[in-house]
Amino acid sequence: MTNTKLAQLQSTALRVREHIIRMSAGGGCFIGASLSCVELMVYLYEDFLRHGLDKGSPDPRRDYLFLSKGHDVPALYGTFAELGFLDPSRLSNHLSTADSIYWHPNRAIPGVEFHSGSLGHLPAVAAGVALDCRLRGGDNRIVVITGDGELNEGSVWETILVANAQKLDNLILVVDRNQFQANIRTEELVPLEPLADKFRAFGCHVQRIDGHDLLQLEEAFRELPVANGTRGIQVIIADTVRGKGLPSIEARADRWFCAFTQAEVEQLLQELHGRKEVIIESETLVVR
Amino acid sequence: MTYEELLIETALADERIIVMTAENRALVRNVPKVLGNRFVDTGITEQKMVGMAAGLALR
Repeated sequence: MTNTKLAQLQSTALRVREHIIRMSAGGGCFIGASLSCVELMVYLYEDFLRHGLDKGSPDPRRDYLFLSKGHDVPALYGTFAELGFLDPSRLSNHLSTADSIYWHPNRAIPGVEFHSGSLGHLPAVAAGVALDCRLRGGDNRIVVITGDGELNEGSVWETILVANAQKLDNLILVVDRNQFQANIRTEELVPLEPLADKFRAFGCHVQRIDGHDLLQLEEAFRELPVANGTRGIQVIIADTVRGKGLPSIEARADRWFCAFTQAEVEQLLQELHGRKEVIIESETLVVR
Repeated sequence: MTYEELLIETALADERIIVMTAENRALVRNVPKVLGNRFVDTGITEQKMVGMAAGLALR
């Protein structure tokens, strides 16, 4: 990746974070899990996926992205808005039932391949699409993003077992490893480590990277072997920080869903740009 | 006509149809050799099989 491209993606990621922070006003959003996967979203849509979203009607030869951890939809829609696929003025409707942008990923939004929010389902759907692509002879790549807490769900591991049995090496499972499930650290509730070893024991090819480092993301995705039906699925564990970009809420168990006031949002935007220290302590911001 | 006969007749008439089983083959034991790779046995994983069927039907 050229320095110019890197700077462009970093700039896009910063603006996506601004969208996410603004969406935490007017009722709130899952801000922590959204901020942790910004670089992942921006990298995938800007550099990796042949999504064709800029070409109008969907192309069956496209790559597919399934956002199984649907709570982080502000990151997805923020990315769509920055890339010109979604009118940014709709982002403030995210808690309005009058707009299909409401609350969780919805197929009515161009670019969303499948509804999500209830955890543990889209790895299986993605595996179905991967098998369909295989049967029809396409070279589509299918990416599914899960949370780490989502790995509690048995359906994820069922999918991995079967996808590896079917040698669906066109399927790429990315874990946003931000160390938290909703209200508690994963390792304090249902420990996942050693996570890479678990995937390898199931027959997956595993890479583990810093999910905020765009160069590492590029290297990981560029190193994926060409899918030819001979291997297990590809797993990329992206180590991330919940709430990344806002030190006052980073890696905190009580900053899962946050409903900030407009004044607090303005402070957080300042903090994002490093202009001043902001500590948000109000308990009323926390929804459990 | 048995369930299996109807299933085979229906699947042969429409190539979009894929038959899946969560390793419950007794009533469909002749389907694999007729449908080839359009028969998918996912093992004993009913929960995941439903999601995978949704993915197969998506495109």
